[in-house]
Amino acid sequence: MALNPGNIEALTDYPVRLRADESALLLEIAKATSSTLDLHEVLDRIAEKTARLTGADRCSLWLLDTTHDLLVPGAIYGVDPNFARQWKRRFLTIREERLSQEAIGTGQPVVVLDAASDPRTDKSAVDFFGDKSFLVVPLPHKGRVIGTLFLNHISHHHHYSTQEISVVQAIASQSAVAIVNAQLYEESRRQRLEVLASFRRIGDALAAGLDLDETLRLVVELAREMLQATVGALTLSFDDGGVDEVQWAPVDVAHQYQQAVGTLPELAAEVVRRGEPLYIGELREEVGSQGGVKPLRTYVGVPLRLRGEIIGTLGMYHSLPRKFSPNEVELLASFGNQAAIAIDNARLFTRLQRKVDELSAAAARNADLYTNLQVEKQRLDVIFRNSSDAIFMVDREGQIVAFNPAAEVLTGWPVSQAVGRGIDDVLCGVTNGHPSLAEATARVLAEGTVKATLVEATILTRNGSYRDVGASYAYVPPRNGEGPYALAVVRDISHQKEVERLKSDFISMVSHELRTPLAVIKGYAATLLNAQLHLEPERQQKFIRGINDASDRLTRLIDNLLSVSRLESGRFKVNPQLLDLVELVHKVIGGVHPSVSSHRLRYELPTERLIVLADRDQIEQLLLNLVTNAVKYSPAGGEVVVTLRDLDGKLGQVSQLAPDGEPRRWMVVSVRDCGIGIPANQLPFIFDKFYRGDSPTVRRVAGTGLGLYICKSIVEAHQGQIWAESEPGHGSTFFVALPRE
Amino acid sequence: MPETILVVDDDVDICEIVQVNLEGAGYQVLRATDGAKGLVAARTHVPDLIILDVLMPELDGWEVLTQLIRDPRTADRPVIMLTCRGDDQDVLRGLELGAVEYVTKPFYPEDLVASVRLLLDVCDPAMREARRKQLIRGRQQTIRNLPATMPRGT
Repeated sequence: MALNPGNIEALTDYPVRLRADESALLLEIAKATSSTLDLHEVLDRIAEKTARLTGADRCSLWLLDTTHDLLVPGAIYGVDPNFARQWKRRFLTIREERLSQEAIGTGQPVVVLDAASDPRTDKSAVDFFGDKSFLVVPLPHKGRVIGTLFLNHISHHHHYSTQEISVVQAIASQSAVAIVNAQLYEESRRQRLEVLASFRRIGDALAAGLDLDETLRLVVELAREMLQATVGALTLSFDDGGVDEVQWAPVDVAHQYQQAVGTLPELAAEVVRRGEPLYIGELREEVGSQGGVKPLRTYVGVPLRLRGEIIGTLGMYHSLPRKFSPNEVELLASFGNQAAIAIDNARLFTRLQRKVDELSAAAARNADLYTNLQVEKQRLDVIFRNSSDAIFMVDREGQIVAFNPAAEVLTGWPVSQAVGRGIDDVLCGVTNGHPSLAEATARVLAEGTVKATLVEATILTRNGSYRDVGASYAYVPPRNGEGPYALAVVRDISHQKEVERLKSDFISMVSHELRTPLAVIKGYAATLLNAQLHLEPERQQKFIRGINDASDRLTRLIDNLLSVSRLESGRFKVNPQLLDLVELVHKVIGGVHPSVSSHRLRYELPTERLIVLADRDQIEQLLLNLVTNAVKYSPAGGEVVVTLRDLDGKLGQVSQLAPDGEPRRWMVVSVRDCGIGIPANQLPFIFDKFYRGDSPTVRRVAGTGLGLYICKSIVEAHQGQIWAESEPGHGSTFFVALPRE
Repeated sequence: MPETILVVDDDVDICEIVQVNLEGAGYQVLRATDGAKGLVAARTHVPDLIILDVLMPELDGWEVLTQLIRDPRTADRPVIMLTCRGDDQDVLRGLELGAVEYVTKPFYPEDLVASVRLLLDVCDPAMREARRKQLIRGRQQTIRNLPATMPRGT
């Protein structure tokens, strides 16, 4: 390559320099670059010096970013400073910048004599700058190309001589050293700052009392940033042998992350085994290379030491081989030891936190339990105090330790006096073959069975009356030094017992009342059928009448029972019809008369008819009951008088006014007997259901205790009144007043 | 001379039935319509056998029976209870008070006649007593076999 003759002047402008040997030129460059370690300053000086020394119109430096195949603008000289600032923002890909591509690819200088016609130049740039000739040389360093150096000539087409080119190459070599040094310096300074920042963040984490997971994540993240690693991973070995793995990676390298997970246990185990950093510059290619993702190639792992013990490992992966420097490994190791302290603190903190949580949860549960107990106790107390059943508790000595208000009502013993007293005093029982309450509670305490048992008993209350009770007992086991106790729940079943007794009495009474006429029917019928007796016709007639009368008695009884049944079930209905009361009384007396030959039946009736609106069957039943009652309780030969009067005057207890305020007219039927009479204190009860006088005579006379009850019900259903007057020993008179139309 | 039988019952129809049937069998019959009259008749006439109702005005059958057994004049006279009260307890009570037969109403008049005939014609006082003891044991057996208290819910 010959120098352009047109460049002679230029050459002569710098004859000394051009002729100077390479070492002098290089000295110039060395002087220019050694005064600073700031990369940008170094680049700027190289550009300036090179332009001046070579006489180029413009000089620029591009740095190669091999990771991204980019050309990063380094420095430019020979342009307006404002343009220089803009220029530095313009990154080029290697493919875009074909001159640099060629220089880097071949490692050789590239000369462009005519920029306008050369196909490799960027025409827009050439037009913009007015470039005529180019010289592009690579910046070599230790066998690599770290960038390119451009010399541009605008003033003329420059022919670069071989010497010129080799001088520029020497400058490039010298510059490359200066640039790499500056870069290294820059890098180490940046690293120092980052490490300081990382360590400070770990310190902050320590102070902030982060939980374990957060701390682990932070450690991995900081270390990864510090080393510019692709994936970071951390493993922990706990005292109990469990191993926790924590990995962290940016989302866009998820595949590498997967690979890291795959290789981690093996590598971490190796780090722990060695107890010192492990560096693997060439991880096996096949690992994780699927799906077009760059596999992880470099691994560095350091043990996490705490007080001489290895508590885990911190590992970094990179997708490029041989990525991390010994410096970085050292850095990671010391970072790891810092991190170990942070992790340990976080672990302690987390454990403490967990313990605190557990304790506060336990405290909360206890508080709940206590509240529940209080609520439960209140409920039980409400039950105890308001139960209608008597409840009490007895200890082993038979002393009452608890006694509720219902127990007070049942026994007549005030709570204050009952508690502390022996159960035999308070609930002394009549056993009736059943165990007494005292015996039952003692047995419950002896057997210690919790199961409740129900027994019936009779107790004597404080005022001397007897009560039938049903009692269930339960064993209350000892607790907190108290007990055991026997708990008794006692219900007063006197009323049920009374009802049962009444029912039983009623059944036996009804069966008796049925048997009596039935015995007569049966006896007469059997006698009539006995052919050996040869009875004369009059006697036969008498027997048949006896059967007939007994059948009537049966019918009356059954009618009364049915009436009671209707009354009880609310089906008792009045079917009013117009009827002549005089005629009805005649009929009833006529019906009763034949069978009461032992008594004299008399009646005082008006001569004219007395029409009332009433239920015929019921009025007949009423009259029949009154007349048969009178006969039953009168001695043989006694007189029974039935009177019927139409009354519009005053009469005893009968209200004289109708509900509408009009004066009432009454039909009054009276039935008088000369029997035993009714004591005045029994008069109020004689119309009660099942009530029977308690004199010996009454008890010897059969009766259901239903007749007068039915009479009263019938009269009341007719808006009438019924009452009795009596003089014991001389007889009674029953009055029935029915309202007239 | 026919044997005399006293019937004590406040129900005239029962008296009539018993009388007709016993007379048909050849006995002479006396009637009383309450306990007090019955006791007087028994002491006055000292019948060979007494048929006694329980539920009666004035004196009830139990009282009459007790007095009859206590009275040396009537103590050896066999008494048949004829009553509506047919509980085991009532039957036992009657037998223990001294009755030798207990018939519940309604009854077959022929059976009553047969009982009267057995007690008067076949049995001497010792046999009647043995028979009474036997009836008491049988009735006690029945009572024992009943559960003391009925189970709840029945």
